[in-house]
Amino acid sequence: MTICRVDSLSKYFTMGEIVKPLDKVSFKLEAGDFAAIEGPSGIGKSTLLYTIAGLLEPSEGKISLFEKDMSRLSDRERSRLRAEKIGFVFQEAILLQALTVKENLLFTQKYNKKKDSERIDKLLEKFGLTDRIKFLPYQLSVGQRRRLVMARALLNDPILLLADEPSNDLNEAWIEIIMEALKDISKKGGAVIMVTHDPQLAAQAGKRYYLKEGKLAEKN
Amino acid sequence: MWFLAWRNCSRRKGQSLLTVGITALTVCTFVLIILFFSAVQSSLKISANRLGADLIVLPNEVEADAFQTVFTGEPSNYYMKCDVLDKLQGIAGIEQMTSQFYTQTLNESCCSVGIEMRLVGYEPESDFILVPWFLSQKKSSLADDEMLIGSKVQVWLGGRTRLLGENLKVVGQLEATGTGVDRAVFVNIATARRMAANSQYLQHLYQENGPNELISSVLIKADSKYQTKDMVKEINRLDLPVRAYATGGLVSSMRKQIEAIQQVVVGVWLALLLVAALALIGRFTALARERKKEIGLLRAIGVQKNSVFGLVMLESGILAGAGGLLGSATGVIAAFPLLGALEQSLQLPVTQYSIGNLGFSTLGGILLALLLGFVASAYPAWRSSAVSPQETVAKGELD
Repeated sequence: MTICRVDSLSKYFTMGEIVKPLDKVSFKLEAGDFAAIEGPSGIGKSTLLYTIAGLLEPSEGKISLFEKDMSRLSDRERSRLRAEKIGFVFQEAILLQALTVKENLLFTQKYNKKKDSERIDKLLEKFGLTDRIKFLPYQLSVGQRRRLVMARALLNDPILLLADEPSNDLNEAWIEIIMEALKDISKKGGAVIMVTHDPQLAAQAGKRYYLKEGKLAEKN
Repeated sequence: MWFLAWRNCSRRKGQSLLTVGITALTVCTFVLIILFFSAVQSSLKISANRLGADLIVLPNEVEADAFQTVFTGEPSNYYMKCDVLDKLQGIAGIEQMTSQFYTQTLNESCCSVGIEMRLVGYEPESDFILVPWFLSQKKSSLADDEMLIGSKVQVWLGGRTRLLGENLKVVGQLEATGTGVDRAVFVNIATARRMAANSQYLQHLYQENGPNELISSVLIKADSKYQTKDMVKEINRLDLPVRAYATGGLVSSMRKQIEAIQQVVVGVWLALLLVAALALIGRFTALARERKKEIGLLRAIGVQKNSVFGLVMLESGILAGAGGLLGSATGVIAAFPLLGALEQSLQLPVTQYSIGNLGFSTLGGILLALLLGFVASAYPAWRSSAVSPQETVAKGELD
């Protein structure tokens, strides 16, 4: 099954001059794929992830997720898709600041409609946050926040995980655990797109792409 | 979404308190203004009816203070000679006529009313002002050592109180009228004159004529066939050192003055409302800006645009509602002492605040707060929901 198909995707921004981070980008991810996208900072890797997730409208081209044309989906349908089938890891460890560690996960779970408190407990344990469940985000270390963000992205057992620099702020041991979690998704028949600037991490992915001047090229 | 909205309000205490404070202050002033002016207006409406007289005749020198003399309980030591009564007898249309003698209590601390207030001596044989109370108590008049107090005079009913050196028994309290009657002490005219004559502190008032030769006001009930304004003209044409007033006319002239003050106060309050609205718009805009990344996150985990809009509106509703409740409650509680002080200093008649007025102003205050919250947060809420998640995450810190 094709989980993600991107055809001739272009994205322009007008910021004084026209910036074109994505220029006729095409690629396809089947179930079980794990893709890494590399490239210099500020080149448009995050823009590609946002656009795939339906958080940003493409200027041209077409994106299909789970064989559905995203441009034909309403905001409600896209939101449902993100809540139930997609996991998203932002480049920054963004959390709901007024909610505790556990509340952040409970709130997210309300939207994916899987009332599974065991899964929350398992993820908290997996990412070493069991003794921090009542902490507010500002009371966590940067690494703990990053792990919580990862736990949240995995909460809905996503079929497609979009991860923007998921290893940021983590030590090697935790990077390994996170990479294992990403690989598990692809092993279970899902797909992963990971944006990274670390060639060693990219090497662990089955497919490697390089984004430069708007063009996405496969890297061997 | 309720849960997140509530947590955002309760865990961002500083920001929430500031927003609630601005709203509460605006609502509190709204409630105070509504309560005060509605109480004054309704008092003015009923004052003339409850006074019991259609015309009042006062010494010429009272002219500037006629309203205060009739409608407040401030000491009013103005006098005219008793023979004025004989000369007024000839005026057509008088159904009933009685006179009163005003003197005053003193600032005495022990066993007294403790403040300066008007002491009114009524004429037992011709009085028609206190008649309803006498009828209700099956009493014909006050004895020489008895006194009757207005609804706002605070002394121990049934006890004895010392006034101008005499011990008087408090035999009753009148119902609220919204006039000077509420703040006055009543004795029979002979007692009032005797007390005035015996008080060494008031002797300067009676150097030309003794209290027994003087009265302070003549109250007239007009025959319904006659126009009070014609009677006023006729009395004022007599060559007497007095001036007659239709009580209704006094009320309408005071109402005009009150309305002028009201316009100024409401204008100032509208300016305050505008400042509060701008401050709240600033608050909610800043709040939405500070949380752009969170809003991007909400969108990424599957929250729809209209739910993001709803979240911001819900938070503003909670804060504005809390501000409304706090402001209304503070306004109602503060109204009694604050407006009592205003009533005293402005010398305006204010009766009790009715339950209806309290309810209306409280509800109005809460609705105003919610409206203020809605107006202030609608645009930031719309912007928050409309902006693209990447922009909220990537550029959140730039603008």
